[in-house]
Amino acid sequence: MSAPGPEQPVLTIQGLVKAFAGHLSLGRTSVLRGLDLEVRRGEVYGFIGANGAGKTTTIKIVTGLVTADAGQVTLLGQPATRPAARRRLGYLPEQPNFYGYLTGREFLRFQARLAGVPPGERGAAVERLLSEVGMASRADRPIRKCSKGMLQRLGIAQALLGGPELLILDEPMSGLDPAGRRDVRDLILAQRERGTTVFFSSHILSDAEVLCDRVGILESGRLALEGTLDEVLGRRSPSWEVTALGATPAGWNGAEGWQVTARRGDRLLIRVEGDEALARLLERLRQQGATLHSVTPHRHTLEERFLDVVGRGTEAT
Amino acid sequence: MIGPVSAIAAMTFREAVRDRVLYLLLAFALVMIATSRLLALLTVGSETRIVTDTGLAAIAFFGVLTAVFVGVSLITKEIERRTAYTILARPVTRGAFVTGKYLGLVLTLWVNAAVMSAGFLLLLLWRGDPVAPALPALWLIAVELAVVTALALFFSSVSSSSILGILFTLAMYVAGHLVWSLPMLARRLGEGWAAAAVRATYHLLPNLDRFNVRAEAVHGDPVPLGFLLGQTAYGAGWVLLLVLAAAVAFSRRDLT
Amino acid sequence: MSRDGRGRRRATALLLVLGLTVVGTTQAWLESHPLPRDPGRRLLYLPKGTFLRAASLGYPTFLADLLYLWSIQHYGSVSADERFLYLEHVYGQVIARLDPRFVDPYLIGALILVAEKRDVEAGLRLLDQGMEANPDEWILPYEAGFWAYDTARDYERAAAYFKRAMEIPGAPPSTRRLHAEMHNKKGDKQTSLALWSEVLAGTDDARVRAIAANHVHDLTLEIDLAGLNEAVSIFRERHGRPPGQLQDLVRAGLVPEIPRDPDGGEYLYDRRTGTVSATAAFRLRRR
Repeated sequence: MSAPGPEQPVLTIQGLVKAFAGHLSLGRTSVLRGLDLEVRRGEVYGFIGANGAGKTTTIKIVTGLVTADAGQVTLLGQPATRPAARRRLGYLPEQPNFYGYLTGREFLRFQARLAGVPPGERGAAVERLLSEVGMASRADRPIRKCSKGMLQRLGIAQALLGGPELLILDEPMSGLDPAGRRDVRDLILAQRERGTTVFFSSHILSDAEVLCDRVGILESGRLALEGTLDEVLGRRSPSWEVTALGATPAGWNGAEGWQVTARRGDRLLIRVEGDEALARLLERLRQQGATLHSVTPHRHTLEERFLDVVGRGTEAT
Repeated sequence: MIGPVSAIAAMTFREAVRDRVLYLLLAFALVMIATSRLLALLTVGSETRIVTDTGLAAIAFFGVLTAVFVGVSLITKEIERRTAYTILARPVTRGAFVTGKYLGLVLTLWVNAAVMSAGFLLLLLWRGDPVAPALPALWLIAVELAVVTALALFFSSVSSSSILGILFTLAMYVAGHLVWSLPMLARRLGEGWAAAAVRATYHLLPNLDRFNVRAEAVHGDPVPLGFLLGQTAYGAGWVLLLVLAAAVAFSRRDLT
Repeated sequence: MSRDGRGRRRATALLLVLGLTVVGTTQAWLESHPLPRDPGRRLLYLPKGTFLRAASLGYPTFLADLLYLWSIQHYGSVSADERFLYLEHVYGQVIARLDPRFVDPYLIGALILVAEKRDVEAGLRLLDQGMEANPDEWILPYEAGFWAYDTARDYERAAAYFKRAMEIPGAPPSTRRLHAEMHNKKGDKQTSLALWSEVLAGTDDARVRAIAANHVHDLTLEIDLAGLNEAVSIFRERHGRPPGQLQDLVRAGLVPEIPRDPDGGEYLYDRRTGTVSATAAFRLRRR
């Protein structure tokens, strides 16, 4: 097992293609159509996409649950098709479910065995994780009597067993109450502090916005956009929102670099793209003798960018 | 390889012994063994025969029933309930997973059969009947259970639903108990492709009926040690082939 | 292909070969060293058909067919001392109760029981069971009559069986003739004569008429001769000598009249020995 160097990506996906056979093997539904993606060491990568975009399929191929039709996946320096590649991997499936007749503690001990935690350290590791995810007091409850949130916590605990180099979390926030979501968010941030690489999928963009170093937006089986949050949100060419009183918008055709987005009485709300256009607008307003009420820098939200990419018609959440 | 297999086997066993359905079946079988004495009261003479018949039949029947129904859900349930996901995302091969699940269930069934057998043998002892003639039959019931479980496991890993798997397994079970009539049919057909097809079918199916030496137990006829060993090796060979086939089939399967 | 995958493939192939070898060799060995038991014996331990019916899940007739086929296949391999137990059990208790209207097993079972076990009673029991369940099948009493006649030489029972067969629509005409003949065999020549006369009157078939006429002829002759000889011996007892001529019997009131023989001739009487016989040119037609 060759340990990947610091500069080597933790996860590389190249030209990934997957189609599923339809009912009675008739027809095939294409899910992934040449996905390329790279996760670098130590970063938190948000894998964003609408439901059905192929996020879970991608994750299942990486974790060895599904076989790709074409393409290469390199996981922690080895082809992902090799079980040994998953030695330092932690994985939380979407809506995780575990053996109902085991207790949480038994389940984690079992997973610790599979994760290769040495026998002497298993007990301590399990107890530490139980308290880390806030399940210490409920560890002896049979899993079939656990709530969805408790399952999610156990799922995260098992993913963290054995100190993984890469954490893959499939929709870690879905189905959780606000407190649970905050806990998960804190856990992810704590892992980043420890230097663990985190790759998580989500369709809840506000989560991603808080957590991610980089994001990739998946749209019909391909990566539509990838980059740091700044790159994706376009911080370098910020836009502005200008509120002015008594301006005359007649003759403005949008070519100037701004446009009126709302109007109430003689109050105008103007959206301006870029610093130069802002300067020109302010000059124009001064010439018209309008009163400048406010100038606010406007930053794109991930949601807006997402909707830009996938098209306004797509339901994002 | 050994580590994950034993971990999965232990977990499967633990999960299974906590399932109440198992106890229901076990209780039912024990009640049946106990009431064989009542049945015996209804006859004149040949009480031992009836107690032995009923006891062995109950052990075999409930064992097979559990093997089929629990065995078939072994893999399909893991996929349907997504419980296999976190296991297979570990450095665990599909083969290790299938083997572990298999061993865990066989262990469960054997413990189950051992409890039933203990009840049955105690009944024989209490009646003052000889215990030895029943032992070969009990041993081969255990071996047959291992083969039937492997059949169930195989069909579990190739079929998309539990119902289909159960149907296939039961069909194979019945076929396996009827194969002894195929050579006869082949002799009747003489030569030709039909006879060849019948002969091929005979060798392709596990001969489950040869595991049944209950008649010998009832009549106190000897079962040679060579036969017991040969039949055990035969069963082990089938288990190997079936678990292997299940592992290969399961490695080609997408968990969706 | 990665080295990993190649190794796994090699291990799979190895295990496959190992499994096939073990199964193949043990199968061969086990086949050449079977348990010392009759393959047909399992059929002997089948529960009675009445119970199997419940277990046949609504397919008792199909199950009966299967068992019948198996029983025939296995018959030869059942050891001699268990063979007949096997027959009575499988045919009488299992198949017959599973599908009482399945006629062949009664016939085959009876055939084997009678011809091979030489146990007519067992065969007839099986056929009786069949008749009870199938009162409309003439073949069962017909067959029973045949065994009772041919093997048991119990003409009385044979006659009863043939009578039963005769009364079932569809029975072949020969049944009536066999019935009539059974009475003859049993010694009841009067009844036999009456029955043969019925047969003679009731058919237009030239061959059957000829057969029936022969029987009527011979029976008449036998009855007449027996009657006359009987009268002669009574006469001899009374008078210490045989009658001088046959008319003396009429005069002594021993017979109402001296019958003419069936062909219209006269019976011969030897006064020295006191025996009545048919004319020399005249013989029983059947023998």
